Amino acid sequence: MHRAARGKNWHDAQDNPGPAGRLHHSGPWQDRHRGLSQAAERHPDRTRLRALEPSGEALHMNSVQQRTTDRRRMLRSPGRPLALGVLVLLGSCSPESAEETLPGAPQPLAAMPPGGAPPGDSELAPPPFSDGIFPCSDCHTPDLPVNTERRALELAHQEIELRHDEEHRWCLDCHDAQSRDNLHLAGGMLVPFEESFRLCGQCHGDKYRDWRAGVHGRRTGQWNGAKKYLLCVNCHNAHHPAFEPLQPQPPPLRPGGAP
Amino acid sequence: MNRREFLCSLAGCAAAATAAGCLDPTHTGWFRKRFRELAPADVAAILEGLEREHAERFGKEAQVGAQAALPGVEFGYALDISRCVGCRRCVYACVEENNQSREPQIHWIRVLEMEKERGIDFAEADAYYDAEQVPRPGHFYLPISCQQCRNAPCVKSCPVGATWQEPDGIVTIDYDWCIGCRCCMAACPYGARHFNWAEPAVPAEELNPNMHYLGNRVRRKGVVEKCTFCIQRVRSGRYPACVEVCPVGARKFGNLLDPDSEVRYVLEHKRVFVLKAELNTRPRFYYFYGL
Repeated sequence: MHRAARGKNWHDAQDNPGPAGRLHHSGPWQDRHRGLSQAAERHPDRTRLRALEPSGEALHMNSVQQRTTDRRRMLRSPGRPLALGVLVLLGSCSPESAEETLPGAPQPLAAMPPGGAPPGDSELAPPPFSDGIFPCSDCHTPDLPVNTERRALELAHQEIELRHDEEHRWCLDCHDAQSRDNLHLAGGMLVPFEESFRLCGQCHGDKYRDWRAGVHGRRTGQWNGAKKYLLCVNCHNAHHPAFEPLQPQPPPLRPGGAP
Repeated sequence: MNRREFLCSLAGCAAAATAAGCLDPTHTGWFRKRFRELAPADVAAILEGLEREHAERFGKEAQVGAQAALPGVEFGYALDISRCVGCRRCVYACVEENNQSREPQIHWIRVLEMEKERGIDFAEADAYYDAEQVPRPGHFYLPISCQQCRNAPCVKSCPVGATWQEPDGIVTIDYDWCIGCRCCMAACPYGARHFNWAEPAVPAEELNPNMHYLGNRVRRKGVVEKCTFCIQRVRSGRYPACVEVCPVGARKFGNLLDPDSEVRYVLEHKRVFVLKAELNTRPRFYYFYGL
């Protein structure tokens, strides 16, 4: 069975990189990582961010895994030539141009590892924005100075109580300081809110894998048709993802009306 | 009364009964065949009669279908007990979907509260927990309904063949064939079968008009009923009602014969068990630890 042979472990894919994985190892992607590290040295505020991520290599593994698990799908995907084209394009960039795409400046979204999304014919729920909150750039205009200092917010968003590894992280570890209407991965690549599962999947890889298989999360629709997928944030509040306790429905009556 | 008069009056009674529909010559009434042996035309006539009955009783149009099992499908269910919080949303979604009696109360799903320290212990389990909020610390929850056994004791114990296993694995009951002896209830090790001790009461405004002959059509007094994986939904490709309502996504459903189905993914990637495996009932209902 294809799925069983693929192995359970997140890292198993390492042993068996598909064609995409090999391309990844020797291709221009790696050069780009080197470029990122060099750039991080030149940008101390970015170094903090990078210290928190599992390391460039870990991210790299992550994408290899995604590519491997989804290579069947990817081979069918019409987006593949486009993604490869972008890889080639990136490879042809000089180190200077790689630096220019940092820090936090928009990376082309097509450069994100293909795959990692639910099957192509499935329906994805839109992100659950609070009323009037999006687009963020309505308030976060270019005129508003960017303060990347980690702090308790006082001017806005005080209602957000972060209970999601708050010891180690704060707003700008997920939200992008430059491209305000986007999130970013640990490696700096931008992710639109509609694809926030890529961001969550960086740490919660096992849940991400189950979710893509249609097993993590609430199911509605057809068991034999196109699936409806909820984003992680449709059920979990990104700022405090643990579920709150619920009030249960009434217990059944005891037989014979006994108390 | 001489013999001639007696025979004449007997014939008169028979004619009257036939006219009243008791002795139905179309094999849809008292003298009909078993459901699986009926000709399609007879099934159609029976379904039409049931729709008429429902319309008269509830003042509401109902569609009673008898869709057959889909080829190449064997249903399986997987429930993640590491996620279930015991909120009982599934219990009441099931009641509404399957037109269960509100008075006297029938619940096809029972949620058992158990202590984490003890593990799965049916003797100490509590189905009547009444908490302000769930999950209660130190407890876990195990919802039980029909396990759709491959080796079903209920089917074996029925003296009249009113319950059987369909090709897609669903154990069904013909409520018109059931004699109410409750042998199946005694045989079921999961307490999954329920008896209509009184005429079931379903409020007309809450009646689910999408019905199946072997599923959620309104039952009558004196017959046994149980979970059918929402046969009226799953045979047209939909998920069972309990799957869709579960707020924590603990319930998974799919085709065991499809290697890409969700339930197969669970069987191949998670720690899975069945209840009372030692009884060799071989359930199609699996429990697993998803975390």
